[in-house]
Amino acid sequence: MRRALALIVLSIAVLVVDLRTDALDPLRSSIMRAAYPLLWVAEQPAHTHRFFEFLALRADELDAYEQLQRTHLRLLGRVQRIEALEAENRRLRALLSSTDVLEARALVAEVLAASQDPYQQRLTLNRGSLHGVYRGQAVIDARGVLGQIVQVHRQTASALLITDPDHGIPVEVNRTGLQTIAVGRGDGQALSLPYLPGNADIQVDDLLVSSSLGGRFPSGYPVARVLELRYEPGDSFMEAIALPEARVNQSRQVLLLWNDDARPASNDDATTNPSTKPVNSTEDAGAPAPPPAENASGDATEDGAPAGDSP
Amino acid sequence: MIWWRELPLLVALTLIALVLKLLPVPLPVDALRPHWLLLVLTAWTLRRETYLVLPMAMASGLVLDATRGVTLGLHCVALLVPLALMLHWRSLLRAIPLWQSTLVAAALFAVYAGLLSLLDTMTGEHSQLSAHWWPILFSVPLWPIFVLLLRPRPVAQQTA
Repeated sequence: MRRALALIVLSIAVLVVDLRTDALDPLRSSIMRAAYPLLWVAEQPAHTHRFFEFLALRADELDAYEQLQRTHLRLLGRVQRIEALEAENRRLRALLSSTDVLEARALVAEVLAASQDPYQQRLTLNRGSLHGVYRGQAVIDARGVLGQIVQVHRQTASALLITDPDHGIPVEVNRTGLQTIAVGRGDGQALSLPYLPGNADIQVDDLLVSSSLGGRFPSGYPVARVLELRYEPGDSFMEAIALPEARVNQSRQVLLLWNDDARPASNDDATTNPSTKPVNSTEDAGAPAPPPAENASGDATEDGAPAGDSP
Repeated sequence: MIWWRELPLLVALTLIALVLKLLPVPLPVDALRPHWLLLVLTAWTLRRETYLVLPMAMASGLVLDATRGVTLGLHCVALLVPLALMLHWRSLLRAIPLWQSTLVAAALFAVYAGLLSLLDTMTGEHSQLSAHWWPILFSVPLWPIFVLLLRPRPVAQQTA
């Protein structure tokens, strides 16, 4: 009886000490280490149960396995396409990253006036040399490239739309990376890609994005989508008709972009007519030059020269 | 002093009782599980050599505390008190019929459950107190069976 009392008192002492202090933590961990075999044995029935469950579920497992095999085959087929997509993705990423950089320098401009003359498709914007606008600057709207600045005044600027027959823009077929020139058709709606080789890889509904060839436009902005392809057998070139992505003549506000990659607008550049830029690009791309522009060059020359020095 | 002869059996029974206690079972079944450890130790105390029962109770109580993650000594106290009472009345309990000693054992199980509930509350353990009381119902019917199973061999055979 005395032993019993002594052990009960000892137990209560252990209880109190463990309740108040951490002194018995080593004891607890050594008890746990000693009791581990017991716990292991006690765990076994649960594992056995799981084993029998596994045996019972074997039929289901086989079904699931077959399903996984089918999925695996299907996925393997898709993986083969991934490599092509990866290449495209890399190119798109390159385009996007340059876009990101450029988006940091942009200015919103209001459209003050729009000319509807088929040979004078221009916008007048409420930004000028005062705001750092320069000749040749790219103008975009929410959907794509709209045109470029051809005249800079103090408070206003004039932009030539991409649908103007005098305007040419270097573009890249987004799907294939093919570089070419898109010039305005003068109908106020469509662009023409007149210098495509007969075997060019271009399809209806291909997206054309701006290319930095020629050094004027920032690359990667949507320009137009191919509407139809025209190729007369025997002709040297295939022609593609494309509709601009930008909503020409429907935007109240446009965005002016600063292209850091562009050559600084020198006097040389400034004195040339806007369509010389596509001419330069054309030489880069190895295609013949577009027909020379006949109108709007005089204004651009006079107003553009001082503007070229302003930024 | 023949206690060391019976030591392996006592240790084996205690370990089996511990494993049965530690066996993970669904929560509703847990309440139906008898108090295996107290069952074995009280039945042993009644019929066998009592020298090692209390240290064994202390050790297994510590194991229960550590594995349940409660304050050390909690199960020790809860096990030692009914066992001490059992030892105190041992000669009397051996003399009375089995059904009467079973009633006493039921009272001892109640003491065990009461101590567990009290100590759980005092040490701030969040336990389901009914989980201590329900097992009494399933422990008491088993107790006479254990007592009969642990009946020592006749002395004539022991000395042989």
